[in-house]
Amino acid sequence: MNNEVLILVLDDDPDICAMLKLVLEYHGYGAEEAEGEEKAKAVLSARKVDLIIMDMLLSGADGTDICRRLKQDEQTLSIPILMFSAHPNAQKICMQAGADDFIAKPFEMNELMEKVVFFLERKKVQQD
Amino acid sequence: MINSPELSSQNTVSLDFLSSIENQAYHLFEQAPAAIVILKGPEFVFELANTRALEIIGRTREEVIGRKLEEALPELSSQGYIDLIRMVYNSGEKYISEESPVSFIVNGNRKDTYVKYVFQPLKDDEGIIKGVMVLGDDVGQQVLARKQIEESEAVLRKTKEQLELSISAGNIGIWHWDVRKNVMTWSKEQMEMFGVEKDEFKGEAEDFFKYVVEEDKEKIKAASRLEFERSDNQYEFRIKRKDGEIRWIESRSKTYMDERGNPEYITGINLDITESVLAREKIRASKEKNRLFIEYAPAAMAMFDKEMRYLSVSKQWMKEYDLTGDIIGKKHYELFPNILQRWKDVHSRCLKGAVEKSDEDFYVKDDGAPVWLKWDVHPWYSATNEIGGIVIFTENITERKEAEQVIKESEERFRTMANEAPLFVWETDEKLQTTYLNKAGLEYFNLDESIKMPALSWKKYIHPDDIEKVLRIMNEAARLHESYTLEMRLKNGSTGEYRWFLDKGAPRYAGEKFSGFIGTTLDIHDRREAEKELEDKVKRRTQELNQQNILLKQQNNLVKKILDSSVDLIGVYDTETRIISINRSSLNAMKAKEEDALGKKLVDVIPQMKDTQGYKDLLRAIGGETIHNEIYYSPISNRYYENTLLPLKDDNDQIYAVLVMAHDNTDLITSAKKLNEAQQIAFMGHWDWDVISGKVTWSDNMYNVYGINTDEEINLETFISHVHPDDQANVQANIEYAFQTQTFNDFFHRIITPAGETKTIHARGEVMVDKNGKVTRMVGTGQDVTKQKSIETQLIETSKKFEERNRFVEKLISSSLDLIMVVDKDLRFITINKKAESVLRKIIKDGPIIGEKITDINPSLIGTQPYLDLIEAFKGNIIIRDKVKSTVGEAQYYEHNYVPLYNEDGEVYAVMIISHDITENIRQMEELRKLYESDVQKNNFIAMASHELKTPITSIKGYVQLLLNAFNKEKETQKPLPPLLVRSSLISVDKQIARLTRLISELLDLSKIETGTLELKKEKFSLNELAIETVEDILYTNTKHTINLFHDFREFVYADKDRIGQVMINFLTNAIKYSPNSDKIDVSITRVANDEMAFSVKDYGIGIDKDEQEKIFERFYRAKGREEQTYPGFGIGLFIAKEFVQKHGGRLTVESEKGKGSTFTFTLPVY
Repeated sequence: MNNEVLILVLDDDPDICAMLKLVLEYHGYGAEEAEGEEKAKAVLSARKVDLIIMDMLLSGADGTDICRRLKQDEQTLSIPILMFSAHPNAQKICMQAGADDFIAKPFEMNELMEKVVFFLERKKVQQD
Repeated sequence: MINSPELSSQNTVSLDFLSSIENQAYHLFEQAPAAIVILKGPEFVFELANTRALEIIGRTREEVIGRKLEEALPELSSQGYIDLIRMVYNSGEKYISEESPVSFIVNGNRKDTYVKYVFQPLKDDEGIIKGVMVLGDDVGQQVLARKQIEESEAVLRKTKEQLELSISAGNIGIWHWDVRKNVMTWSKEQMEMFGVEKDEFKGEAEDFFKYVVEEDKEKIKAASRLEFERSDNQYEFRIKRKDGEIRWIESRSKTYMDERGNPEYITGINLDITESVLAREKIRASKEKNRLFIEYAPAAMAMFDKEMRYLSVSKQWMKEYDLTGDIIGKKHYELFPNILQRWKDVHSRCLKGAVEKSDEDFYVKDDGAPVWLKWDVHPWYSATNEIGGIVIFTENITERKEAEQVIKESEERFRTMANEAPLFVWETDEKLQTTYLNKAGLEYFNLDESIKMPALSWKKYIHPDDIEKVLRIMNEAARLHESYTLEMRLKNGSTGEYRWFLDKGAPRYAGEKFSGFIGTTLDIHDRREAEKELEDKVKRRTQELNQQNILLKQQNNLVKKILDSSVDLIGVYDTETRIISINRSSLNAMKAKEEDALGKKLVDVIPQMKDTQGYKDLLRAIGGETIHNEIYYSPISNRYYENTLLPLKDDNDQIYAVLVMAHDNTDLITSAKKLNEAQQIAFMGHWDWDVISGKVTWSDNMYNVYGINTDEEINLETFISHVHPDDQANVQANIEYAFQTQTFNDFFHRIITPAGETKTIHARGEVMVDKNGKVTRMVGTGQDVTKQKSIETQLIETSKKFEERNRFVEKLISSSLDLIMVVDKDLRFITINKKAESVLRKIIKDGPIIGEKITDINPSLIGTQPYLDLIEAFKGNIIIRDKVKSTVGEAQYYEHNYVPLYNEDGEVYAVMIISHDITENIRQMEELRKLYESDVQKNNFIAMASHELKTPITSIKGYVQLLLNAFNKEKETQKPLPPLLVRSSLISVDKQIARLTRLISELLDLSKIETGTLELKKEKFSLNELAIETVEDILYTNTKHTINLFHDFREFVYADKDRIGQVMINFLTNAIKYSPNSDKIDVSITRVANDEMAFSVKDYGIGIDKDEQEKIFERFYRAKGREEQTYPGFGIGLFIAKEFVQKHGGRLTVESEKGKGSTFTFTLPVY
């Protein structure tokens, strides 16, 4: 288990969160769930997060707003954000909000993992 | 004459310049009391000669100016003067002479005089001798005066001698007159004296008389009378002797009287005193002459006796020395007590016989002024040859001295300027004969430089029509001492062409006497021609414009009458946007009065027009563009127009006005707009197929839908060509069907846009036939339903609401019929149309409408807005009133237009009321609004629905792929999936599937409800049992809450178990959802009335706002609120639940208080 890596999964649907956590952990990455911005912020300030995977549509909140806020905050702006949504036009919106990448729901597992690996590798290179 | 500033200034400058030079030099030059002559060049050509000089030499200007000295004054050469001058010219040395005798031959006569002169060489800037200046004066006077005096002296002497002689010779005649006998006796001498022969004398007194000179006869008579009265008498008289000689006679007589005093005889002696009288005369004359001589001498001259008392004095002397009054006899030194000693010395020396003089004596006057003086003093001799006194000549030459200087300087300038000036410089004498003409002038008249001035009669060069004017003006100017300006034509000496010149002249005077003109003449021909042309052009143009104006006015009046009756807005504007002509309709739209508008600029009448498109269009039209707007919106009148702006050109193709015509088609536009808007919302286009001609007209939206350019022509073939190949047969079939049955059935067909996009079109239409039943036209709509089709939900496509919307749109297509009524001033109907009649018939079923008052037919009208508007319209205002509710019963809404109608006299004689039924519009608008809103809701719903469906699918997919991955990788060195993981994954998948199923079944239910195909599978079952089962299921996956079940009533129902179960699930899941912070839910089953039972679920959660309690049962409604999280689900649960319950004959209600919780209840009839 690669305990150094931590991925934050942000979605108001607990089922999705659980599923994603399972998949990530299976691949050997640490994962934390958060159903809203508050929880997410708590995790971000407590631990070093390497990647955020989040839904564009959260209950009661606009994922793009959260994404913008994260990207404007000094503490979190360097953390890559991978956004997903079922909306067909969501990609452009997500990218404009500052997301580093986008994946459509329902996503192919392979595709998702490729993107995860990409961002983690990149981070590793940057740090070296 | 049009003033040309450049010309005037040029003229002024030149003349002024000329004048200034002229004034300076000429003034001095001319006024110089001395003679000044300038001879130029080695030939000594006369350049200048002032008046004084001319006087002296006895020539006129023409005779000398421009001529060589030896030619002008040939007599001088023999006297050696020319040689003298040449000597001066060659040597460069000045030559002065005091007193030289000179003779001038003047008109054949010889004039001898004495002159004093200075010959001065003239040099240019480089010191080269250019000529000789002669300054001088005629001192003949002085010399002659002196000689005169000497002469007088001599005469005196001689006379005295003669007198003495005559007296001693004793020429005495004796006469005796016997008065009583009247006998005269003469002595021999007497007879000799009178030149009478002895025998000629008759001895009568008359004989004596006849010899007396006529003039003296009176004297004799007077003397005779005296002789009668007194004894001793003496008198003088003249006689004319027989030989004609006149003699002066002095007569002395003695009268002898008798005792009574009467004369008896008179004896007298006559003395011939002619000599002495003559001598006396001579002396007197001489003295007089002397006196006059001196008095009028141009020089300052005075004659003194030995004591320096004034004997005679010249006027000039008086003037020079500021003396007034009679100074004869006064002492010179008394008058001039401060006289310098040196003068006194001179006087005393001259009194002793010396002669002294000075040419240039300089002294400073008392006031400090410098004076140059030329003086001359010599003694005069009396008859006895003794010195009687002195004569003093003085001449103040200060000015002359200055003149010399100035002349030298300005001479060249003057010459150059005179010659170089582009104008003629000329001078005339008092007879207006040219005495000088500069080079330019000579050239123009094509005259040789050497021409003799007198030969130049300039008058013959003046145009015959101008000569009289010129002479008149010049003479007038001379008389009034004023300068003149005139224009005249002068003939060009070489071409013979007459050209216009501007002539300016100033008269000159020698003292009081007019001596000629000096002036300039400038060629203004070209300028004048241009001015004339311009004048003519302006005149012509003005005439033309005037004519045009009149014509235009006439046309205007005619047109105005026609235009005023037009409802269309018509106006004519000039190129400055001023209103030339405007009809009533326009004025009304502007809300302006004719007198305030005519002639004013558009923006002055309506300031708000300034930034409008309409104003910009007007400006463009003024610039020459013809503008036509299909749709023009006027913000001023808030109406739509179709307008045209047409520039009007005159005969010269110049734009002089713009004609603006506008047709108000607001109604058309607004309907069209609404149609367009409706169509746009519905992705719908409108088509109109004229079967006869084959032409198909499409709305813009249609073109949009088909993705084609709006200028493409559409007919049946081109339409088919856009249809998807697989659907073309179907389309044809449907059209065939429409022809055969004359009804249009809806159908769908796909099209392929030029861009390659495939769209699905829902086609609808109507078939129109003529009276023979033949199909003439089809109209309809085509709606792009592609989007709708692609979404699985067929609900929207088959939605009844769509049908309703079509109906609205169809209603829009078939134009709503307007009511049109015309009423006269008494509000009586003049005419009404069918629609109006049908509406009015609702009020007045039978009887006439035409001729009846509108207020009689519909009394409720009085006092209402429509009534007031009608009254207002009669005042001449166009009124447009929107959204007026009909006073005729039913809920109809109208837009009323009140249009005043004018007769020939411009008075409103009727008002036309056009009522546009906008009820449909209003309803449509309401419907459209709702439609739009529901569309928005639907769109949101669709978006939300797809999101919701995708979420469980994502989870399922995730797990499945994970598992697949795990199993695939088992072959490699991946770790296997722990069985626990597999299990939990599968459980999750199961759960998600359940969720998905629920969602889908909700959608299906919704669809069934919408299409009315919901079927209930009723059976008898226990509500309580179902409740228990449901709660258990819920608890299985929702562990947070405790669900309490209260069975207060146990009964059976006859209902669709599945559906009711769903309702229960809906209540419970909602309760759980909306009470995250609570852990308790109470479910109770109770009895309500005899035949009903109720199932309630109570939660202690966030509750529902009062105003939302109604809405939550609406189809797509979801409880709002940012603070509360929105919960997953479609939000259609309650709607369906309500439908289900109601279908069973039950009710579904909610009780809730925000923050406290909610209780949802449904009832069912008991089995």
